[in-house]
Amino acid sequence: LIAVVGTPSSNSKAIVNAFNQLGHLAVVTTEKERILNASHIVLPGVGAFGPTVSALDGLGIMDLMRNVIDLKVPLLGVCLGLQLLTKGSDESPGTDGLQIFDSYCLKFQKAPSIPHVGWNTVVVNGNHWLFKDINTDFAAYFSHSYYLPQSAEYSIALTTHGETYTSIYAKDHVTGIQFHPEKSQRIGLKLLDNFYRFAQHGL
Amino acid sequence: MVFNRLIPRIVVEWDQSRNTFVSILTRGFQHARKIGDPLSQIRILQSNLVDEIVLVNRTQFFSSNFYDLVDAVAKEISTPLSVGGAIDSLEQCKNLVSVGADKLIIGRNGNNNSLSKSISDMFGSQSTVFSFDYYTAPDQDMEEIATSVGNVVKKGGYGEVILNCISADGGKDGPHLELLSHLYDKIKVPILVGCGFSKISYFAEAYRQGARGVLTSTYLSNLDQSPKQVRSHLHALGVHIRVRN
Repeated sequence: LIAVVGTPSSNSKAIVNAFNQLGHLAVVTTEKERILNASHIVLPGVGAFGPTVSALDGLGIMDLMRNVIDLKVPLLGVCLGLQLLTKGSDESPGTDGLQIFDSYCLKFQKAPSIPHVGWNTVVVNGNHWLFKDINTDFAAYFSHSYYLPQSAEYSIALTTHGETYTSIYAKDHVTGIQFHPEKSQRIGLKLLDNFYRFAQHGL
Repeated sequence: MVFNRLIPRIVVEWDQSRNTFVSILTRGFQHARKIGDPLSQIRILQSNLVDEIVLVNRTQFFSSNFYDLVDAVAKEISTPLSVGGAIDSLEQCKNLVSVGADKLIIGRNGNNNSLSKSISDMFGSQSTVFSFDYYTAPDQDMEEIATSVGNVVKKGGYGEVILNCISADGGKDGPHLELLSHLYDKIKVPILVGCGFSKISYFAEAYRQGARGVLTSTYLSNLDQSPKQVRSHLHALGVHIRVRN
């Protein structure tokens, strides 16, 4: 069972719908037991960094997520969910993220339009199980104002909007996607399917 | 100026009229033409690479069948879904998001800063869209209108704006792009334009003038032109457009 963490005002439902379209059973939940026993965990999120961290803290989920990392359960952060995996964000200075990714989220400065909303190109950077049967570049749907800078080691896909930044970050069994795979039609569902199939053991 | 690599969007917009199924309103929004089953239409449009789906009710409080449609669409598709129109409370927005809305469109109450700010604070500016409907008239000062629309966008916490020129809707003379060109340098958020897109060249012209998306109902809903065909025509004209998924 895929546990999609019920972050406040989030895209949790859309991600569950997408997994269900693929035939993989997923539920939105904030119950610790369900999250701990899941085969895969998805951390979604739309909205602001600080208030989301506070809300998850209030539910005890921030602590739970830190413990979950040691269990090596495949974990996927989507959009704000990816940003929550980092050390923090310009959006809410002083609020700590989960610090699973050694990176910090910055506000777009040079971008021609802010927020970055719409379809943009994702350029795949190297081989990764997430991209099985996927082209080396594809269009995906984005909706955000903050971004993760490039990491030579962990950026497995890049996108340019004023700056060239990380659109997918991957470290061990934890993956973060900045765009919305659940809203990127066939290719987005393919990425979710690959996460479901290969995040545990690779190809 | 930094080149904007965002891929211009082809968006389908449907209106709900008088509590019936989603209909197309054409010719100055006066004549509603029913489309078939909206869900089956949307399935076809997604398979033809439509970039976004917009469902609005401009005139009234949302009935349960509006929510039911959003829910049904959200369950079946993986295309961005923007909904709204006559939104007048944060409560409605919570309900729309809970059935699967990705973006909230505020229409006739769009000037209400405290409403739009509360929506933007809760769901993020990227999910808060201002839809501005207007008529053209002789001796109109477009610069003045653009300034006021720009102020609404900035003060209201909006992350996107849709310009609908009702006078151009359903006409064969093409869209009204003057407001777009006046507004373009005033705000940083994406601007989308609707109404009057009855030819491929109109799409290309709107994108050239900085529109990040074009909204159309009739042109694509009759299905004599699919988004895929529009895409390949635009691609042939040299427009940066999504051609595959």
